[in-house]
Amino acid sequence: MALTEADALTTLEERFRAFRDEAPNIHGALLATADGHPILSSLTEVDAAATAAMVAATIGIGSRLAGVLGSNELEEVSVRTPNGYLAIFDAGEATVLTVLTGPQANLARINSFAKLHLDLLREVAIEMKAGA
Amino acid sequence: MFSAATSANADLIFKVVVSGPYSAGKTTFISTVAGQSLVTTDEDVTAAIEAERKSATTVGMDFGVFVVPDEAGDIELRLHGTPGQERFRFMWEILAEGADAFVIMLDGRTPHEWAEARSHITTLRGVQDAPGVIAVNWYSEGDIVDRVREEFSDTGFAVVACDAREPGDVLGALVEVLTTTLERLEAETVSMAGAVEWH
Repeated sequence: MALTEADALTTLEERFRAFRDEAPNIHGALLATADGHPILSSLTEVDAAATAAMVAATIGIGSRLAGVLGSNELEEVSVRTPNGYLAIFDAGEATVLTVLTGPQANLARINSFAKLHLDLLREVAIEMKAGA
Repeated sequence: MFSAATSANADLIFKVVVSGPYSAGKTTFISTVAGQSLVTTDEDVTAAIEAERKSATTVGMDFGVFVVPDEAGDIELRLHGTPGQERFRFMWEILAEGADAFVIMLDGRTPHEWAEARSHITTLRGVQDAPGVIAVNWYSEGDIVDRVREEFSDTGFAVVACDAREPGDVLGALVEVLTTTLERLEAETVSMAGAVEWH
């Protein structure tokens, strides 16, 4: 049965919060639409609207660069700096998950952890669309 | 610490894509009204032919927010600026995704580039069927705005004179964008009640 939009958002928030709270060394996360609008954010220091727009553009370019590797399945785009990582994952259903971590974070762990949660987020996103 | 990021302050949010040929004034247009929300991706120009026009160019996107205060609820325009050059066509396609409206910037002094502007419109509309406005920058020359209006009459886009450096002009163009977008929204709401909307 399709969830109402409010229910779906609440469920999405719960999943998102669980991800944020359990993830190793994570600073925060942003869930956004693939066309650049923020849905949920835990990044108080960051402009969610501007970041969601940049993330959408980045994942768009990433998908095209994936073609250079002969693949049409982009799993992740990441930015590494001395201050930490920013990793963007295709969350499916036209949503993208951005994760910010400190410099000590183990990106492989974040990656596998994110994959686990992405399935949950995707389920809710599907429900949310069905209910809309 | 944690918050839903959707429409926190505004009742309506529109994605407006600002496109058009190289050096037409797209970044200036956005920076004139975006204030602190501005994000740009300017890089130094290396090609001599492009450097004759200006020293820096957008290689990714520009982004800025402009809020239209309204008693019935604020309206937020999220402006996404594209690079102008043909080699960045993929970026036009990426940014057009989910657009509610387009602004096509034109340099009134260079009519030979208008065909290029048409190519922008075709590409953007190929991705997203959204209404648009043509903003004519450097429009001081006599009947230039009328000529643009005639040239692009088949697109259905409104044409406005717009010095991208002048807040009043940019505001005027955005009001035109808003009017066009709301008209389209109203028409769609009537014809497709219950359509899926993410934002």
